[in-house]
Amino acid sequence: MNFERVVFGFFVILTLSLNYAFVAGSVEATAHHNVWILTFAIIVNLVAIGLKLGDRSQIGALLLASGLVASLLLITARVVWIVAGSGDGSGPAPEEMTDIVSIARGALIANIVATVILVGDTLLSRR
Amino acid sequence: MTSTSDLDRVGMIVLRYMRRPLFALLFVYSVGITGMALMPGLAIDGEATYMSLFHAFYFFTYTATTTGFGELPSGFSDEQRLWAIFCLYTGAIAWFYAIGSLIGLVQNPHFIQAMDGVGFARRVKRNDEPFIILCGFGDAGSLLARGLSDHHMRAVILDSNPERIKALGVRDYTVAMPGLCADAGAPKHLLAAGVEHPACRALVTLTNDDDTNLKIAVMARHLNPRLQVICRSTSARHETHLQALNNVTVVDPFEIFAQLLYWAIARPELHNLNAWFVGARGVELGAPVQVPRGDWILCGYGRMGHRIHCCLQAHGVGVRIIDPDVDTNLVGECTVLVQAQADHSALDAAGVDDAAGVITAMNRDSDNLNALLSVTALNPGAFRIVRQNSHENQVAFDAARADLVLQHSLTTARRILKLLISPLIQELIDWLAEREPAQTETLVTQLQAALGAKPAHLCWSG
Repeated sequence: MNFERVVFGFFVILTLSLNYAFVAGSVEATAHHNVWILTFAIIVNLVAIGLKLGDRSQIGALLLASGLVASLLLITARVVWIVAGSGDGSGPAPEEMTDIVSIARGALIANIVATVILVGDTLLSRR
Repeated sequence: MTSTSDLDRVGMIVLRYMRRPLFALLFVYSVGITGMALMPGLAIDGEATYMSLFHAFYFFTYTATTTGFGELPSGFSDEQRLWAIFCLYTGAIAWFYAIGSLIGLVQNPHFIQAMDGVGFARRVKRNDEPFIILCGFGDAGSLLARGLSDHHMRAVILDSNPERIKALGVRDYTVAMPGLCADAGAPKHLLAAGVEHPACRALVTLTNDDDTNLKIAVMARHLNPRLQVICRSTSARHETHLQALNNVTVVDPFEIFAQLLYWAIARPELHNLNAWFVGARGVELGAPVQVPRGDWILCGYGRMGHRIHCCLQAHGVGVRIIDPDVDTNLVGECTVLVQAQADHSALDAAGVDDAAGVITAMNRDSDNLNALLSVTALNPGAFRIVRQNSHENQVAFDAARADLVLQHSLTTARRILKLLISPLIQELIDWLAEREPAQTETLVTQLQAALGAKPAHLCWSG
């Protein structure tokens, strides 16, 4: 039982969960998507990237790459949310919400890939 | 398993050390922003407003970096201000810690050295022109580099002293000469310097340590059997090892110096021809310096003095020795010996009045110049030959106006340059040395007829 693996597994699965929590629901309904969840998903994703810096194995390189993809997409989604023009403080319009959620769904794929790699590696190592 | 380069390894370690400052920053930012967005702001129309997450991020960024624009977009309530105080302290500390750590990591000496090594290897690999690898950038090395630059030959330089590589950086040569501060005995550095490169012409090792020179020569021979290797060596034991390897030329600075000195004294026409070939300043072909016959006084009996004495004695020139530490048994009989420092009284005792000339061959320039002054005072007519040790004292030696100044690093560099550019010239000189002076004079007349007053210019052969 490796403390480092517990921590890393926790953050990878947490970022997948938060990402899914953000994109779940209808694509256009603003009420289904909470900006706080998106923010926490970004923060936890950055932590997961930080944990993979300087890891020399091939698996580490792949996990770093998928983490970078996910954070790129999530931050793009957040930026689109910030500049979404309709109404100060009342959230984006349905068309803009669609864009934001689509980008975040892309990030979800990257997080799924990272989780699958992590689980697969653990299962294959048979220790 | 694929081999990782130095840069990969050091790069990974640098990235790993970056984690802690980045995490500190991330943690402080997230706590600060979350708190700022949760704190109730000023009530407008009886309803509490909250700062949006984006505005909280904006506020925290310019607070943590101590830019401090103010309370934007609108004034803060007291709860928000309380939290802002907390943000200020933690944010500024985390930011300075992170910046300091990241800058320190990038300046990690191992990282910088690994980056230098990679850049150097890449420059060498991209080069297509023929080049020489030079190990050791001391006096002889830098003189050789200057000579190579004058003949438009590139060189790649390795030296284990970082100051010498920095000095290399400020030289202006006609061709590019990349340099690396590394131990030239390690094969990976020789490979980075291009010992297996098809355009590499030769490897010259001129470090001060004979063991290192031997190691470099052996490594280079194993890595590239076809490469010409020129090795500086002053010990007989190493020379026997080196002669056993083929295509390795051994250059002994003391031997060369002693030989040149003997030629200057007993075969001035040959010395003149040799100096004309290498392009020494102020040398006119066919006008050798007239040297008086007789006994010579030798000041200084270290390794160099011993070699000079053997060489002169073997050719029948009488020598009187002045040295405080010389061992009488080594010298042999029939030699006047004065065991003292080379000052006025010692020179008198050795009979400077009737000597043909004085050779000051001590290994400190100050001693040599000092003795020179004494000789000039006692016997202005004596022929003065002075050994110069360090290139940086050139100005003093020029001002001393001795009849002949011999600098052993310069003679070594010139000999190696001759070997590299046209090896047959050295064979010619050696051949002429074994024959009568009349043959040298015939050759000199022929050269004068063919070239007139034009100076010699050696061209690369092969």
